[in-house]
Amino acid sequence: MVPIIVIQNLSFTYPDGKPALRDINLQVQPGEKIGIVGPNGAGKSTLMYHLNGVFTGQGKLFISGLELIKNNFPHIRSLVGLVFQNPDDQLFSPTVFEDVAYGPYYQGLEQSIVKDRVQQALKAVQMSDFIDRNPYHLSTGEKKRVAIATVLSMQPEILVFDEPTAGLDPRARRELIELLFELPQTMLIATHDLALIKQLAPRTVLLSKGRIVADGPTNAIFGNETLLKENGLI
Amino acid sequence: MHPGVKLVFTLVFIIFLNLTPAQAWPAYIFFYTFLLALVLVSRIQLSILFQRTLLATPFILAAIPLIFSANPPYYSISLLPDVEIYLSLEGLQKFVSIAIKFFISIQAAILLTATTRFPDLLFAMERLKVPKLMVAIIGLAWRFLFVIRDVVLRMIRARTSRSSSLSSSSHSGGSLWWRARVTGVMAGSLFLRSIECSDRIYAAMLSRGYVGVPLPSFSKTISINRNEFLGLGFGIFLIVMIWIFGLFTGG
Repeated sequence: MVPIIVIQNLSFTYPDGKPALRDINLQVQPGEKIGIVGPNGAGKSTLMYHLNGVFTGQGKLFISGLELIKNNFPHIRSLVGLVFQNPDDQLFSPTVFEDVAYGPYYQGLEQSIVKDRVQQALKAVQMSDFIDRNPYHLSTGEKKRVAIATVLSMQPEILVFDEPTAGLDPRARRELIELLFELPQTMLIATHDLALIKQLAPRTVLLSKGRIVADGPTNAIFGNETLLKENGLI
Repeated sequence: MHPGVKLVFTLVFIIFLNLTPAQAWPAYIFFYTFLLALVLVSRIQLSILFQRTLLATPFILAAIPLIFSANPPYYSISLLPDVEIYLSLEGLQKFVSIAIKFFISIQAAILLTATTRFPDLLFAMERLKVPKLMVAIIGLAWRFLFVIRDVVLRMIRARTSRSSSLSSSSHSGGSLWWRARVTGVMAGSLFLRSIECSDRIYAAMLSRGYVGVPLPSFSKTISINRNEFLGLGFGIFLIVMIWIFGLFTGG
């Protein structure tokens, strides 16, 4: 099977000189659900931001066979839906409808198609009743769902989540996990929430100090207590 | 050098520069030469100085109406066969004078901030008896400017990651009006988040015993030494001399 994501020798250093990613190599098959775990500062978010060109480092990155170069950014961004840690960063419109419509509208789709996309995306996250509400006044769990809808409306092939369960109460967390379980897209989830990964992702990639230190079945990695301790995960 | 000396000198420099009459071109040259000499002594890279100056240049646009609205005589310039605009020579000279003063003042302020740590500047303000509340407000504004900057960056990243195009689509990006509206709404959202953020900060301050009296600066208390005092006096003397020269040469 042709991998949907190929990362070759990716390295990235922040403008202040702090290295964040070193020589990352990774292949992801279509439909895989992968957990990206690691301590604070391991480079999880930085790696996620590379997947649709928000950050660009040295090395090569291919999404659905398209090389991540400047000319391909707009198209790759339609293939990779990035859900940020803080939904407030992602939701900036006066109504849920406008926020969810942003992506498809920007793509130049006709209004009738945009409306259909918005309704489908909100239905998928069970937020159809909130279509005319102001996102600012929603609970954190509801905002997370709307944030996911804002990328689902673009019909991406890959979903990338940065700390999806951060700040959620147990019920909202459970509902979100159930939702993620149902979504068919290829999924990369960067998180500290090991229980989430155990439930959702058959494969785990462990990052530490910008390097991949383990990549394999979730059960095998989470069963290795020494590895988890050495990398600050327990 | 004592931050108080640098702060007083910069304030005096900017005040006297801006009190110099319009069209006092030789005086402006002396002011700028004086400033450039200080820049060279302080070993600040000129490229950094000019880059930072460029960031502030849009504010000069506010003085552009002077070119069209000052006293006669007016000179007409025809843009199209039936379209003429009238420029005032006096207005143009005033605009250029303001632009030069603005440019030199900004560079003086950049020289101050590039050579003085911000906590030291706050300390200097306290020593100069600037009201403590104002010093506290300036300190908080400086600190939370960076917090807001981070929020803005995260919002822009989130928007960028959803600003995509389909390979089959030849007209992505939406209309200019729609994009302007999205940007306006983002600014409104940022405003609301800033208010919320300030509420949380204030609650955190109250919870740690804040009762409206700002904390004093913890910078090491040092006094201005004799040499610094003499240097400041000489610097101010030069500034006043250039200003008097400007009074005679200005329009």
